[in-house]
Amino acid sequence: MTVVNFLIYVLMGLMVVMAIIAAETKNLLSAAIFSGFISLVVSMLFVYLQAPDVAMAEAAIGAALSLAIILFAIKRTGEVEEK
Amino acid sequence: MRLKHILAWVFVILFVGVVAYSLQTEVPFGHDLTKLAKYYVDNTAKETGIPNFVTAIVVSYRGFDTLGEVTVLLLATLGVIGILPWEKHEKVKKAHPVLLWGIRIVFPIILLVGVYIVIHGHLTPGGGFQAGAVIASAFMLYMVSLSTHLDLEAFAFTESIAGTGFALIGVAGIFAGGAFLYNFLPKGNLFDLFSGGIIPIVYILIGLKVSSELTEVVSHMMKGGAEQ
Repeated sequence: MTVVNFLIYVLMGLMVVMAIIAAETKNLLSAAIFSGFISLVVSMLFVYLQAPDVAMAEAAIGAALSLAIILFAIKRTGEVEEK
Repeated sequence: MRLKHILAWVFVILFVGVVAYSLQTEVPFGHDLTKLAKYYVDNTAKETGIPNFVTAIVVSYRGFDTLGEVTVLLLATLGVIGILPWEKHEKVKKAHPVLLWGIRIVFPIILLVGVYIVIHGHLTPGGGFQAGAVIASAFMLYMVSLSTHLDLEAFAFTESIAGTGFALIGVAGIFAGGAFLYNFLPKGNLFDLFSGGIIPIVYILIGLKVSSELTEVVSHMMKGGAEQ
């Protein structure tokens, strides 16, 4: 296993951990931030898979714009998920 | 409730396992081209005059689909504006100084990166859609920090001019070469900035259109709807 492959596995494991945290946390603000991090890691993986166009779109839309839209929605509705 | 959570975890781990397994088998990149991919690799530079396959497919080979795509984005923007309208409120809240000065430094750099991506869309990875998202995120940061009201009229004007320009270039192709979006301008030398005929012009128009549309979406999401 090369160093790059090892890094890819680390990134994927990080993605799984962040996805579980984003789904399980009761604080919507941190859930949104973790989903933005997932987009960032996905865009890194796209670069590794030689798809720089998709990586650019994912980083700009997934990690910046959609995260911002979710944050604006949270700002209006309240930060903590209720039962 | 607990069962649903455990099932979701199992699915996520299974999915990542499948992806990790397929990475481990080392799929060779660039091999086993299908017939269509081989055609693009062999003929793109000759037929369209640009080295970037993705841009050639998006703007030249499948240009009509791209026109439909930007129309879909326009309809989505109109939907957001219709659901969450906002007028100019006069109250302007100042942001924290750290945010304010940070964004004053970062804003022009992000804008420059976006403009670079769109101008070199036919040479390097990226293009109108990616640059539109980058530029829109720059304007989003601007709105968050300075809390000044951007002139949305200007964005609407830019958007309509760019969309009309795209369609007009397509119609001009009918008169010049007999096909919608025909590349009627001289192609120039491969790898030159001014090359590829109408492809860079169309991609810059797409960049303007996408950036202004996404900026409008974000600003309406941010400030639209009922008064709080």
